[in-house]
Amino acid sequence: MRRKKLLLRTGLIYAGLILVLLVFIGPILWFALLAIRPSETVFAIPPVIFFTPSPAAFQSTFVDPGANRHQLVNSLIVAGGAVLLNLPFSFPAAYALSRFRMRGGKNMMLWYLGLLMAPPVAFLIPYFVLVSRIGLRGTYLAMILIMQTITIPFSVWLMKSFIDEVPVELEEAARVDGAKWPRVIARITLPLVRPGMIVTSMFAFVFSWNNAAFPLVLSNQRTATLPIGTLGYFATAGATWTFIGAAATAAMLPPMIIFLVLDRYVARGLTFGSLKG
Amino acid sequence: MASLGFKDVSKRFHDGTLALANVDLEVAHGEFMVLVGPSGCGKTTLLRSAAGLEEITSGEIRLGGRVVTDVDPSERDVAMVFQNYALYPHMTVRQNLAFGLEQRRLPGAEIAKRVAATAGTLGLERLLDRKPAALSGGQRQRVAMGRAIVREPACFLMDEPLSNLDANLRVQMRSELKLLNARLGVTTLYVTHDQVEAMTMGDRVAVLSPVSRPEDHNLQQCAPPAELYNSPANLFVAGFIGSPAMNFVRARIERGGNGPELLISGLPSPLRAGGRVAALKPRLERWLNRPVILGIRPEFFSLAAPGEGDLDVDVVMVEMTGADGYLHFELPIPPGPVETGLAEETVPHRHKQVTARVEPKLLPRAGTRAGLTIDLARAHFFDPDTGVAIR
Repeated sequence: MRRKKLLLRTGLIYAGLILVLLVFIGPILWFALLAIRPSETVFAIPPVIFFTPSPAAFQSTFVDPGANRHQLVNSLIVAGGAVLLNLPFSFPAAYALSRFRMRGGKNMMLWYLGLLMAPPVAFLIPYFVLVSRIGLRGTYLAMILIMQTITIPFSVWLMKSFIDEVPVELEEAARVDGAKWPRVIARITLPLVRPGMIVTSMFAFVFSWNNAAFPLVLSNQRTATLPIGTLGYFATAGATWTFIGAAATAAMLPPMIIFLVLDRYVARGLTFGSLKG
Repeated sequence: MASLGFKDVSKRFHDGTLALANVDLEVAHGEFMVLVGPSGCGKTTLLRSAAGLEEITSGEIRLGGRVVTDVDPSERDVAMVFQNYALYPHMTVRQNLAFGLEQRRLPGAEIAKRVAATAGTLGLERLLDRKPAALSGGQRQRVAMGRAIVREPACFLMDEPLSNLDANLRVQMRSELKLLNARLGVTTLYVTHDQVEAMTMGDRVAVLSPVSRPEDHNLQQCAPPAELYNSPANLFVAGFIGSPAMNFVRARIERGGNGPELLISGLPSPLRAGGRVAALKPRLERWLNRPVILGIRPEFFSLAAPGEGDLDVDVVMVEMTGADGYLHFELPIPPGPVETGLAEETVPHRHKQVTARVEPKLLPRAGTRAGLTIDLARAHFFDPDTGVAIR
């Protein structure tokens, strides 16, 4: 009797979990399948579940003629550049906000939060004007710089929480041991927040990679990123759904791979407090 | 090695809290000085000031004759042992020990030699390649000590280094540390809130109390442990040093028919001890017919048959620790506030509960009546207005 009840309960829990999973994985799966199904079955009713998969869409988007291949490279340049520019600015800011008492430090954190909460669309026109005036429109640099308005506030918040976790006594011990500030940071603080720097860079990459709003107004034909390329398929005579599926699936891959590979740092980052022992 | 001096040191934190006021303290060359006091008394702040981790608001700190008040911690040549050890978690024990020497750009061979010697002294040889996370509490403590020793600094600063250890290990490390200090002979400033640690380890002990006004003084008394115990300078020191704490009762010395009499407030009649009170006369001449505070350590009492001691009491509670027996009785508190100059927590139950130490074999039962004799020759008297000892 009790065993039956337990079985029923477990069954219900799993059913619930599968339902939730479907909601999250469903669309992703649908997009991935979109890329490999024949185009006439895209909106077929009843839905066609069994079909012969074909790499044709990937073939034409990334190989021949491969209009999106170049955009994939552009995305890598912009997101990579955004990552490289991110830490040199956000680490010192986070360090200062974590360690030093300063007038308005708290307000600064709130301001960063405000920047994160404001819809990027609100800034599109000002940024467009700004970037055009200084002659950077259509350049990678423009996109990389403007991406920082999202990545730096977020990174400062995240880095600060990691730096907060490093007991200040460790830095004090190093100072008494004879190390000056730069060396204390290089030998003690930086090695201890390395997981945090990896996680932060990871998020900076993903945010920049996924951002479509800024490249939409700041890029040109030559520097357009993958999200822009994907959007492009809506414009031509009707939407080319299989191409959209292929481009979107390709766009999803790098963030997924990054999360899978660096997963342990995220986990370590979350248990960082246990270090004090 | 060097002496360490604080001259008129005051420290106010940015939030306005006054931590240190007018601290004058001189730690002699090679001396083991313990700073002790309740929480908030500024002992850790004073230690951190010596390390340079805390800027002082006014005053001067000298190390071996050199004024180091504004010198960066990295250039003071002091070594500090932190309460939580502050071992670098990403480095091995060997790297932890070598770090300070590397900062001083010592040649590699010299570093290796010194690390090996220190590891030998502290029995860390087999742990050198482990990281702190893989060490027990006692081992971490040893590494923290090692990191200080290996530097051969002018002065050791230790911030409650034993407080994170369990009781047995603490006692063991206490004696090890003392032996080590005797062998190395390095000037040491040691912070603790544990008075047993203070009394057993210090060449001299400085008792600090919290301050609230800039004209106050943190330093209440600085003396060798025995002196601190036998002649406390004031009520604060008397109440802080000794466990169980000294009993304080209000009293009055009056000229009776047969000479001076000691009247303890709350007791109906003077102590039956005319002769012994007379012996105290020179000390208390000026205090005749004035209120004083009488300080009696629990061990100044001895048991007598009811009616035969100095006073008879109702035993409220008894405690047996094995070696000692403690008898608690109560004295009624007379009306009116009593200003003892002491924080409430340092003198529990103020004048209400009194503790007497007696031979455990003779310990009476709770609820019975017992006679007690007070060794008045050893008792302490304090000025009730200032709290200063009457000597």
